[in-house]
Amino acid sequence: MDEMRVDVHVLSLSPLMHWYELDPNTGVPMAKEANDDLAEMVASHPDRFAGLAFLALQDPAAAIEELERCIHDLGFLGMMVGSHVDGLDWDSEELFPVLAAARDLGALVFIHPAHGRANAFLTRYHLRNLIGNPFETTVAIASLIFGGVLDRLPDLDICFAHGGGYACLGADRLDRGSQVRAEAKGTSSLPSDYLRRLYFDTLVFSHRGLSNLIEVVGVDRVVLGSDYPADMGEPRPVDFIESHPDLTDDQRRLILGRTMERLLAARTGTPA
Amino acid sequence: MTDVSEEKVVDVHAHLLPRSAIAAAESRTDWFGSRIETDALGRPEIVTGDYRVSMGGPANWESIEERIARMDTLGVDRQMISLNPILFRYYLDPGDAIECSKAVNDEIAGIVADHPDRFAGFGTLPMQTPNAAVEELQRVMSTAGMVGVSVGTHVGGLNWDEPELFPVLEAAEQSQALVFVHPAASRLKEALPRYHMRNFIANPTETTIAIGSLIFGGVLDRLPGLRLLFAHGGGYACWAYARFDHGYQVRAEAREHIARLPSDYLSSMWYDSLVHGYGNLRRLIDVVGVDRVVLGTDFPADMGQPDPVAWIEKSDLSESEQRAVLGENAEVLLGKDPG
Repeated sequence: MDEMRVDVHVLSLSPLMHWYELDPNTGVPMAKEANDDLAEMVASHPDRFAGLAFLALQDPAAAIEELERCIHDLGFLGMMVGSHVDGLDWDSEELFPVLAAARDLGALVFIHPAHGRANAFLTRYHLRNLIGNPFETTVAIASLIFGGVLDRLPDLDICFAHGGGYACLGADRLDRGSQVRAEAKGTSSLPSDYLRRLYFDTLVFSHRGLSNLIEVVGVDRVVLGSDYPADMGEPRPVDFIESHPDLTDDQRRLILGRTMERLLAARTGTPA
Repeated sequence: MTDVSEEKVVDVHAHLLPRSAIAAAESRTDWFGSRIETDALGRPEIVTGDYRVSMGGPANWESIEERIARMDTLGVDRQMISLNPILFRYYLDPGDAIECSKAVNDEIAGIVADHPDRFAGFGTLPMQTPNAAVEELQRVMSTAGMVGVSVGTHVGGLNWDEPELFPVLEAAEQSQALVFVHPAASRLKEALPRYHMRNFIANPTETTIAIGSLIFGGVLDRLPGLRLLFAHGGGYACWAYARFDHGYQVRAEAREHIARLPSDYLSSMWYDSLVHGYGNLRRLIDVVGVDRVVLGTDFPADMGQPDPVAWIEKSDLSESEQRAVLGENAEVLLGKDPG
């Protein structure tokens, strides 16, 4: 981290270990153990780490209990969840109480793809990651929009990995669809309007992609993400932002830390 | 200063419900394995076993004369017509699929022959039997007014890097056929049952998979003369390329068949303009080049572009860029000099 010039890692369990298919008898204790481990790591260097809870979402009631423990007792910032839960998308009524609890607890929700449902036909060239992951994130965002979840929970802070997948490019098609298809009507705003209420990490791998993201969602909605320590991560995340030719210093500061500090401060009560 | 509206306007993405299917609907008989019904909104509804899917508008039922009248109203001089992809029959027995392809292609060729100044045609292929698909492709390309073939983004689950599909693309390159790749029968539709996401998200994802498979599979290296056109602005490809490039740099399996960055290949293909927003139109042009973007409307679908010429003319594209997109680039694809 020092070498990469990163002061704080907001840590989460690897999404490959989001084992929502486990029996709750195994999955619930697994989540507790993972969160206790993470809490220990954060406590060892409280100025360098913050924690996001892993939840056994296959048991929503237990997940809410664990989230309360993680926020109240372990001092976590929020929770990190899969872009779907063993096939259930985030518009599912079963999952809504978890998001409502996150809103009530002031927990940040970080949504990350895993267990892509397109894997079966993306067997080569790492396409299950290169395409399957952004696809899943796009489905999560659209499900939250069209399912009315963002209308019901306007104060919930949600951040998406990999710059939100394809959502910011795909939003115009969602808008068109909401105008012509009965099954996509019912949201209080145009689908694309919701994007400016969400947060997105910077893991888009090109300055052009970052500019496009900022153009669609606003610079105050983009926060640094590296996917550390994955090969599909950004090895020099600070350099990636600082070397962007079209950003002002203020914009760089927002992306590199200020927006995240604001989100942290709102939760810990400490000044940014 | 040239008036943009004096140039020929060509729509490369316009679909056909064949007269044979309309006749089957009227006589309540099957059309190659499906019933053609009318849904509550007056649209053709294709019923295959238990699966029902509606086409995107009642104008699908209209005659060619009515279509030409609509084209006149829209300011479209020429449509490059293709079978509605809902009707691709890749899952039928080969014999039936061959019969269906020949019937559809003869009908499209007849429409083009009757109105050679208003239409050009894409043929459809029995892709489940690649040898027969090659034969039919060659027959199509020997027919006046036919410029290529339209194919699905996958063939019964096979992506376009599969060796068994390669001979069809090879034959397309040899006969200079334009291959129009359009999503159909999405493999993601079971995961996306709500809010029409099986269209909004599954379709561009399927197109992105097709582009990724063709690039990473080395197909474009093996067939440098192959001309490919992708629907809906290529799906998400012009946003997805940077992740492709990073994957190429860090994952050995992404370098198995290619020796340069995946993004390098994007400007060797064509994309229609059906991206539903000016920001995305500009982004597409930035990535692939203005000479690679051609007007496409998805006529007569609800998910299409209802007023395409006005939409382009009101964009921030320069006059020369507008001319390129509205018709000049397509004239190149049609094998003619612009102007």
